[in-house]
Amino acid sequence: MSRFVFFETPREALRAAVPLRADLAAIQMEWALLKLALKYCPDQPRVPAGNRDGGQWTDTAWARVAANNMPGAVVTDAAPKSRDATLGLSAPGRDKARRALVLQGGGGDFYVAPNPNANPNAPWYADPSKSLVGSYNDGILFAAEQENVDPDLIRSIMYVETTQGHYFGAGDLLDSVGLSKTILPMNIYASRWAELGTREDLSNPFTNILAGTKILKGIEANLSAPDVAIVGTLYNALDATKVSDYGARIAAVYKEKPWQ
Amino acid sequence: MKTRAKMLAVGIAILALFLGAGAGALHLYMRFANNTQGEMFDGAGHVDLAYCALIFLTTFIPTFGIVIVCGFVVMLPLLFSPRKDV
Repeated sequence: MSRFVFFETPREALRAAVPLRADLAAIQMEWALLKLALKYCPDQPRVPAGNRDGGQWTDTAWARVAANNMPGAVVTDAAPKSRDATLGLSAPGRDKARRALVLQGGGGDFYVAPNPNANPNAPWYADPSKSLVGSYNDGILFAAEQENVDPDLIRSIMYVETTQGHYFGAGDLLDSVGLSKTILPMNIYASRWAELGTREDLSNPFTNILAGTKILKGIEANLSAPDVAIVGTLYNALDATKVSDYGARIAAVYKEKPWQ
Repeated sequence: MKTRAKMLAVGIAILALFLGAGAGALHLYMRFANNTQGEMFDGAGHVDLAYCALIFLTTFIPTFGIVIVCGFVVMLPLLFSPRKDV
């Protein structure tokens, strides 16, 4: 088969080149976005205070120069390598991109930095008596088996959502009139996860638990090393770049298992 | 209406406003603290003011109403008491 194509007229050749130019433009755009994503990392070190460029973003190359040329300069550790292309996007863009990857069930590598300052304690308004974990145990076990997700992870999410999201009855009031954005027991943001069911579907606790479990599975599928605190953080806010108080609370509840 | 009852009615209305606003603010605080799956923000990352107003009113109106009704019940004996205004 010949590698060359011959055209009768120059106009014909130009017409044939139009889709190629469109493809080239798309590739150039994709490459530009990829370069932008690779440039940003939330853990990129800064030049230490006391130096001429103190506070500026730096990299390991600068750190080596600083170590060689500036006696006494503190060299910070290099940022952990991440293949998370969503880090270069704005928070809403990252949320959208990650949501698509969660629904896809993989294909991404979400990076969420550890946060030793995250508070794992329950807020003052948390009410353990509002927990619905015991009431929906059958649904949790079914969803866990169906999606191959740890049932204690589902219980932890449900426990935190129901004990901290009761709003002294106001949450139930808004749910009952169909005005709340999120629906218990897994507190699914109905319009944001429309692919997992309509508002009516998600008002059914059984479907709600299954949808929440699918989200958890999708998050886990996009993590190279799934960790309860990171999964919890992402369940609460997909655009998160470091472990939140919510994630730390989920990890603490997962460990304590207060529903037992 | 007796002067004393009028003053009491105004006091109850002010109390109802304060308690209603407090309850609404508390509800908003809890919602923002949880912010489940970003429910307090719109798709562009801005605070969803309409939803905030809804959250506030969901607790403001019942609290305000309860305080007004309770206040009226408390006021009833005063309205019909034989004591005269000074």
